[in-house]
Amino acid sequence: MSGRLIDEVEIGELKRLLRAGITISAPPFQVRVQSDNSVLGESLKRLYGACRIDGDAQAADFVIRVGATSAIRRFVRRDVIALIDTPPPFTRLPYEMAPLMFEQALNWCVATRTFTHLVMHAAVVARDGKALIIPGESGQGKSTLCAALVSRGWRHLSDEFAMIDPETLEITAHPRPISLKNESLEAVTAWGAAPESVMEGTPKGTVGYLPPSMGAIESAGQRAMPAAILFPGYTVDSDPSITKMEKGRAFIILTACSVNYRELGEEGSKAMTRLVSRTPIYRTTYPDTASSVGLVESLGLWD
Amino acid sequence: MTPVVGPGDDSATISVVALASKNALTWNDWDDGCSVFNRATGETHFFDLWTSYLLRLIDSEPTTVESLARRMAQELDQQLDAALRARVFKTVQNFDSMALVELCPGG
Repeated sequence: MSGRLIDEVEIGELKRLLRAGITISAPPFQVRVQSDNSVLGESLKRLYGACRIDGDAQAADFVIRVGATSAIRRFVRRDVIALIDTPPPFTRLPYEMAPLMFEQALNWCVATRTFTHLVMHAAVVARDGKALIIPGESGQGKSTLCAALVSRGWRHLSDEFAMIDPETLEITAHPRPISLKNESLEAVTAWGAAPESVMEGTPKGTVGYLPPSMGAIESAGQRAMPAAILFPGYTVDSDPSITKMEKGRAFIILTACSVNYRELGEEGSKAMTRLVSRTPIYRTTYPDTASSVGLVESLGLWD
Repeated sequence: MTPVVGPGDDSATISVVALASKNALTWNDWDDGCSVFNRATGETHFFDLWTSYLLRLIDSEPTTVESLARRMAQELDQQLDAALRARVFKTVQNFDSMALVELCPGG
């Protein structure tokens, strides 16, 4: 791996470099970022410290510029918006929310411009090369469960996207900061994790991130085979339960979770069919994180 | 969409139902239903067993709504009555709206 770790770049230099543009290695992507937003510079150092910069700008998969919506907004009621090479699909945010804007922009790039993989909105963790895919809508506990398992030694492949090779079904890691919102922030703090770049009053409430570890970034080149798919179901005051899902129904839900199933056409359909056929799929209900971890471990797939 | 006459009207028997695109469907059977990928549109559909069986009949050969109702009654041991005809007719209309089948005047 070449290039300097972001963590080792002094913050003043990082901000200077960022103004001109830096290429961050966020496996498997090279992301070109340019911004004069000071908050984003500080956030990149905290959240992407285990990633390397100095990559080839020409080789960037995505180019994202994060800046003010107009010259005057650099000084008065400062704001921030991400610009890609098409009209931005984002709503502008206050200046201090640049980290959230950047994460949204990068998510948008991955979701709309990845055609080499079947991409699903899901967290992925693994142990012994066997991956657990955790799909789900916001609020179901996907990221919290991902963070809990990572804190217990599971490998962090992704918090946001399962990137599935349509031929082999192997999952390519895309370890990025784990995005946590509202009660999830309290939950991870309770077990000693320390979310970074916490922003209050965002359109999603309070948002913060757990950065990927050095190990997650360094092992990002290792793929993992899906061993199970688990739909999380955080429900207050519920009894912990786990049940196998009927595959037809799971198939349809998973196609809806995929961000590019339709674009991949028959290749995507075949890949999804094989994934669902070969992989046990579960639905869970649990009242707290400890229960959800217990349910995963009760499957006995990683003994 | 070609207008189709409803059950109870004699002309319903001459409305031919055929797949919109021949050999365009990929079937996957699951315990709780069937998913169908339509290469012609790129869409994936999920049907219960009854509905997928009806589509398979159309997939095997162009036919009429009345003939479909008769075969569904025979093979699924159902009574051939107005309710079954209406159900078949409605389902065929749904297939049409999904661009899975074409409805055309036969005879």
